[in-house]
Amino acid sequence: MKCTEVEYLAPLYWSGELEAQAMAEVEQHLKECPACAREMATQEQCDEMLQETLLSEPVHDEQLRQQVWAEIQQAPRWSPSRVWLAVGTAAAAVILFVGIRFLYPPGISDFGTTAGQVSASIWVDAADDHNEEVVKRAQRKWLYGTAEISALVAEKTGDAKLVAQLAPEHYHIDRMRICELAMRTYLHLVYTDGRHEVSFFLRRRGGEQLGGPKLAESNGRAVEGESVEKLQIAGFQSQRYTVVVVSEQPRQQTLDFASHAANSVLDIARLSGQNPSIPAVLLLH
Amino acid sequence: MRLSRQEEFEQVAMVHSKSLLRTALRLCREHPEAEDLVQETLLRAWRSFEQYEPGTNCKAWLFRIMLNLAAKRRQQSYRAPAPDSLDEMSEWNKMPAAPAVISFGESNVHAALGGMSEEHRVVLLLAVVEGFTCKEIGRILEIPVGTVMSRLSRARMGLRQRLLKLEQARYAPPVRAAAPGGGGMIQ
Repeated sequence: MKCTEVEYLAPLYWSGELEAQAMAEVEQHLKECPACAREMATQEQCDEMLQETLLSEPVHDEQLRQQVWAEIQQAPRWSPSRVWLAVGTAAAAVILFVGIRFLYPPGISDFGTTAGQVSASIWVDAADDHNEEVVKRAQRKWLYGTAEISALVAEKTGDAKLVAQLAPEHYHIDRMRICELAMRTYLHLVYTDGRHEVSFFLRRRGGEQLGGPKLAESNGRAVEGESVEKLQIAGFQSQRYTVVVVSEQPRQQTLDFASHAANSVLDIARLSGQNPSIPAVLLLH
Repeated sequence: MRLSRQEEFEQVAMVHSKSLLRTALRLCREHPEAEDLVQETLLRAWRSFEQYEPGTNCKAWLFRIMLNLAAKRRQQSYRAPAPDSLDEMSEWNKMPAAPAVISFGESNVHAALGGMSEEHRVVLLLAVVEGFTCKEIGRILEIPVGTVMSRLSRARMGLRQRLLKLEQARYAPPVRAAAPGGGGMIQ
């Protein structure tokens, strides 16, 4: 058996679906090929780690189960009359849904939520968004005009001043849209100095974590960073906000953008008498 | 003694509520949305429980209902699926050298998983976490087994690449924050 055949059959090997003959051939190949044996061993460790991570997390389904049983007790049968009732309810729900979506486009309604346990790679999504929407200029609906942008920022974050205070030196706000990073809603603000454009992704802090690798500390706060290809990403979380910055400019420049923004948000917290908290500035990509 | 319909439903369907919720939490943006998805899945299963054939794979049947439902909901409030931004190498031997012993942090696992496309995340969860076979996944997602296999291989490689990148980033040289005006601005 060749390496490519082992690669092809690997999913069946892991799920135990291989026929006895094929299984024997794969195992024989693994005895003779150190490279494939190493790959299989690494993959096994990776699978086990994924299993352990997700299966060790508590899943609280008690309330959900109670609700399902309550519904079942109330509606044990699905009679024709109930079907018509359901059709009517569904129609009403559709009308309501359409109405809500007309007023509030998808994603807006969950803004500022503190619920949620999904942790995801915000920075990877931010890089994708910046690349598509700013670098490649993919067709998107943007909001223009400082007044309009400030009004929406105020509505979603509670502070219109953020638009000006997040702006890097010599940059001004150009446009904004609502987007989604790691399954959460953010405001995507694009600032420009006339030559460069930089993306700021902003949301009222919920349960999300940037969770990046820590490389250094500054004033007791973690500073983390990495350069991958041309995009640089930096992010921080204050007590009230999550901010992610993406630019094509050098790493230090991007870090300065984020640091400036972190200071601005800190100033807002100080001015408003809150305990400032800037846990980290992350420079990730 | 013959079980009542509700007792039977509890024994064969409701026992999978944790598995359904665990997967739903990786598909939905927020916890309440995931709970709502599972609740609707179980209620739909109850309503069509007459069609369920005793002795067949109830867990796979429930997952099929849930993933169909999730797809319909996604169509209703369409958002572009997040494509895997990292190149996932198709060839076995192009994989970057992996550490002999993997010890990535939990947060990295979540981050790597969350950054994958939903298509890859789903097959990975079904196969690795929920223990479905390729054949069962094919039936759940209504796709050929060959497609499951290739999707699963790419998903596994994608996850490993993401984990490696995150882990390499952790041990990259430190970056000093040169703060304008003398530093010390990051608090």
